[in-house]
Amino acid sequence: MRFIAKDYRRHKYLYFMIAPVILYYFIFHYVPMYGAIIAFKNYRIADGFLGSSWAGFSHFISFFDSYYFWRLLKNTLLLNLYMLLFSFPAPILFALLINEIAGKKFKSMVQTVTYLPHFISMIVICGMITQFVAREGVVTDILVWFGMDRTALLGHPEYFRAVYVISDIWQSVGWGSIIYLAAISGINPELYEAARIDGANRWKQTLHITLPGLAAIITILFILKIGNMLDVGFEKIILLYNPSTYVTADVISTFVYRKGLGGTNEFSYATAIGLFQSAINFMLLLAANRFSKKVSENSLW
Amino acid sequence: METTSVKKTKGERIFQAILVLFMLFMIVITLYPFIYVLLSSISDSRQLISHTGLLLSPQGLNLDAYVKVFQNPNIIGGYVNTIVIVVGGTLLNLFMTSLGAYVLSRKGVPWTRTVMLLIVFTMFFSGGLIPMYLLVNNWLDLGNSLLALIIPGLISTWNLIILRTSFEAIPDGLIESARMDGAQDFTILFRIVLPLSLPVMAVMVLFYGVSHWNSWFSAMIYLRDRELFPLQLILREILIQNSTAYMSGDASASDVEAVGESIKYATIIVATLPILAVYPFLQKYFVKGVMIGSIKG
Amino acid sequence: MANNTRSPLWRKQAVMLVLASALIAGCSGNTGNNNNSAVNTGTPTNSAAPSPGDSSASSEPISLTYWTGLNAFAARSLKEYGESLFYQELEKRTNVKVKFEHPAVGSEAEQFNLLIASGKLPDVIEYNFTTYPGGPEKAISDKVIIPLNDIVEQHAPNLKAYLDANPEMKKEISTDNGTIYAFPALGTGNSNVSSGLVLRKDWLDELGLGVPETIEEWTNVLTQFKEKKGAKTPLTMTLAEFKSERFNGAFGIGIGFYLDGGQVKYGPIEPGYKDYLTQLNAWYKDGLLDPDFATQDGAAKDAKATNGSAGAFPAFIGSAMGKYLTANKDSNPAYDLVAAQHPVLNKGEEPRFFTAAYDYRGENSAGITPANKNAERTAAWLDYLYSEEGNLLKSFGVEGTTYSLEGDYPKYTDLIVNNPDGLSIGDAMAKYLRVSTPSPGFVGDDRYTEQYYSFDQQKHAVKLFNQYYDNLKDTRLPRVTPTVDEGQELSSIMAEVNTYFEEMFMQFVMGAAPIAEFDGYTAQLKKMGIERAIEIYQSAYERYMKR
Repeated sequence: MRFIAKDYRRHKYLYFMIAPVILYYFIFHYVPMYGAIIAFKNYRIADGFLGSSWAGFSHFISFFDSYYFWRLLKNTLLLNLYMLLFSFPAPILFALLINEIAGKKFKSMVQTVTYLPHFISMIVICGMITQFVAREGVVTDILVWFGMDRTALLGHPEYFRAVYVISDIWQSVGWGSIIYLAAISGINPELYEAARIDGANRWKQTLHITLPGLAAIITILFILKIGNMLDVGFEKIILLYNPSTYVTADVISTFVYRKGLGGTNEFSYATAIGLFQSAINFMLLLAANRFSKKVSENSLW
Repeated sequence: METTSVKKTKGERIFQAILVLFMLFMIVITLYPFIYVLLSSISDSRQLISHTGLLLSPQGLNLDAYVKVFQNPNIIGGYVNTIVIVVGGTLLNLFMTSLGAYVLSRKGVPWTRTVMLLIVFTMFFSGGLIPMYLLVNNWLDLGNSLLALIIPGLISTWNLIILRTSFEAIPDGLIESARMDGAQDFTILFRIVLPLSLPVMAVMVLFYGVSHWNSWFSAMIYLRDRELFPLQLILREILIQNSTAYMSGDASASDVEAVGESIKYATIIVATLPILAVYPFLQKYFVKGVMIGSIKG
Repeated sequence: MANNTRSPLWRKQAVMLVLASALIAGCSGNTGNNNNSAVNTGTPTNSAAPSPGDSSASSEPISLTYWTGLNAFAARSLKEYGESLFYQELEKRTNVKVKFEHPAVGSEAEQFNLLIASGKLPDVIEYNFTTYPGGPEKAISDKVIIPLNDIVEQHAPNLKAYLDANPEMKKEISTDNGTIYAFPALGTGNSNVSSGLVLRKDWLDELGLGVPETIEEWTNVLTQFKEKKGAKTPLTMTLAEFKSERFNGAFGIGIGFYLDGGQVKYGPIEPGYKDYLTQLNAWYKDGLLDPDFATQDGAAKDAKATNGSAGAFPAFIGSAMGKYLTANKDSNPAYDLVAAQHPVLNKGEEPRFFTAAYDYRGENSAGITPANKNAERTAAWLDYLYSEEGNLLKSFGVEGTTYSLEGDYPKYTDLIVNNPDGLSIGDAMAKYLRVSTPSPGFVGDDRYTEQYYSFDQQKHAVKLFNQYYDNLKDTRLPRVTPTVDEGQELSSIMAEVNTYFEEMFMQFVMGAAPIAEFDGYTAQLKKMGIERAIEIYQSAYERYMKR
């Protein structure tokens, strides 16, 4: 307490400034957290949080015992791993390339157009994806030209991850590059001046100035992505998968979604699974953050 | 960054040429979805239905879809509501997020680490929909008002982290010299940190603004008066009419005539065009370099 | 209820005429599901007045809050139902003012849950209470709605008369222990089946083929479509359409849980299913079934149906047949469709498995909540919709504005069928009336159906598809209610069963798994607990039968 008092005198205004922020998080995030209790109950809306009977760990056990548990876990992790390997670096590279464009008008046009797919609703985008990789689709045509057998790609589990990841890059590379472009424009231009005077070409400048300038934001976003390894947004998968591809496409969230369609309110079950996913995610985040602190100056805390 | 006139080597010219080709390719493939939606919206529904493959020209040019869309009594109201939410919401977002990011980016303040941890924790664990609903609707009595769409989402932790990372990059020297001149934290934030962070602030405007513009879920949960519905909720109502997920098992109920395809696309255009127009204005903040040199003493 | 002194004389005479003819025709006492005379069932002396036991003066205006999903098509023209001609006229006649609360279209299920969670209930809730977890009984014990038996007995003469005349229907709309819980949406007319298999009539004519009835004829027709008409995908379907009863009926099994001699069975593990899969696989191998049925969406199927890639497909009479015929009206006048009877195995057999709505629609039935302070008046107000007058208002509107009488037959005016603002028939009906989707009262009046379907092919289809509707009595599982615990058990089992089943279905049809593995597949399903699921449905069915 004495420490707080001493610190308060030094950083008085910081306390004022952080107060509304803390208040917000307390009211809108910590207060409702009691709802997570239903993961351990058989929640029925009419019975309420207190009145619903206890289920202990039965929902978790039921999930772990499921015939499909390992498959779901594997698919979720693998899909995210591919996204991390391909979909995460794509906007960074794209931002670097945009940065190299000489013509200012063209550069600006590229930025303005490439972010458009982000704004088209998922339903329409997935409709297009399905068409492109259909038996007679454009992308299929190109692949056939390269020697592939003619078939609908989304009917084959071995192609699902590729379609998912590549289409994700298509949808989000433009939008994703925005934050990196903003970071690049915040780099001190004097650094570039000095480098050019020293004779460094654009490639060396990128390597020694731009990338280090982006290091902080890349690291942070990477850590946050690790904290998502057990989440896969189910809307897109629902729109693209079908029973032929369940073996690679069915992830935790899609299975829980289908279960919920059965009609009985599956609040407790879904909450339990969500809690499981969040716990694992959080641990991964902690690990990634600690690792990052050891090897770099950037970390979440 | 600015490219001053330096003689380009042959290697650089080849690189530029390949780059331009690549970018043109990217433009084509990212523009296509938009073109598809646009052309579909000005096509005749009946001809559109038999079309397969790439859509490169309108199928039977006709603007009926737009006429029908604007006849919907909820569209104009939807626009107004959405604009109110976007403008009001984003301003509040920026204010709160800046406060938080600034404090959390200060070095030498030991409790910021704990606060950060507690905040990041909320990204992973939440109580779910019903407690939040009870809080907003019953306990705080914000239900059925636009405030319910703004206040619960006042700070996005993701954005907070990005902004904080960016504030951390402001050179300490500048802050110290301002303090020695007698500036307090509020002044430092508004006079020094924010002006130096224009690019990332522009990104914040974009992220929060677009998020408000696209959001429909909170509106669906909390709003009961259709007059308060934002645009995206109206759009969603029209889009799901066509999806099989919406068709109930009842044979006679789902047999009602489906809406013309082109109306679906016209609604997308009507709901998306305004926000697309915002980006070029924000773009100029990404191009300018930061005036660090001129501020440094 | 309508104040008699305000109805014009002609209307009173019309009511008298209808009542007289009804009394002569007699209450039909129909036990079957195929009940045409529902509307004409005799009603007591005055169908529009509150029953004598009602103490509240019918002229005193009351106000109700009414929660219901807004029909997606109505949402395009109306902000809330109160703006429609039907409800405005209804208010005039009954002196009941209604304040509607509509959740956003498509979010009805979530909003219903939140409504209960918040505890702030409106006076009336329209919802499908058969899907309430634990069934409608639970909804009553959870204090979401009140039991209505006494109220219907005393204040809802029209509904009471109908239920007394139709005990099978009374069973359907009650809980396992006989409680009536909502004012139901009841199907009348012969249009419960609104979808089936449809083929290109112009192709059949050209090739000199009749409309196929048996599986063998189907194979022949599809083969000729492929060879002689160059159809790339003679039969096209989407994956979702395989969940309806289409070809499986020919093999004597239902697509999911069904009845066989009073026993609940599950189609996918029955031996008949093996034959069904074998047939589908054969069609797939021979290129008669669209190989992309699993990956294509509705739009792709629509395209094939209209541009000549396909010659046969499942279709809804209104939304699909109408859409396809309209799309080709100008560009390909030779394009013609014909409905096919649900397929059988051998000539002369009757179809016994096909997809149809239940007579008690379930959706949009109106429950009265404990928060309602005027339960009796509310009941009487809802009861009006079960009278001839009320039904006419709901389905046909106001005479002179939305319909005109040709003898006894209400014919829609141009406002509906040829709307001056360019609204389609469906949109116009949704704007002025409440007829195309379920609502409390009677649904699917034949006179409406005949006029809604504008193409002759559709009129023929609705008759053909419904021809054998009575057969469903023996094969279709009625809407039974598992208990809360059973429900949870069921959902756990079915989540896995469905996943496995769907995957194996694909493999069998596409040939990735040989049919010989069928036994291994049924064994696996049994390991996953399918027999327990059947047991649960069986006991729920037995409870249903005892109602």
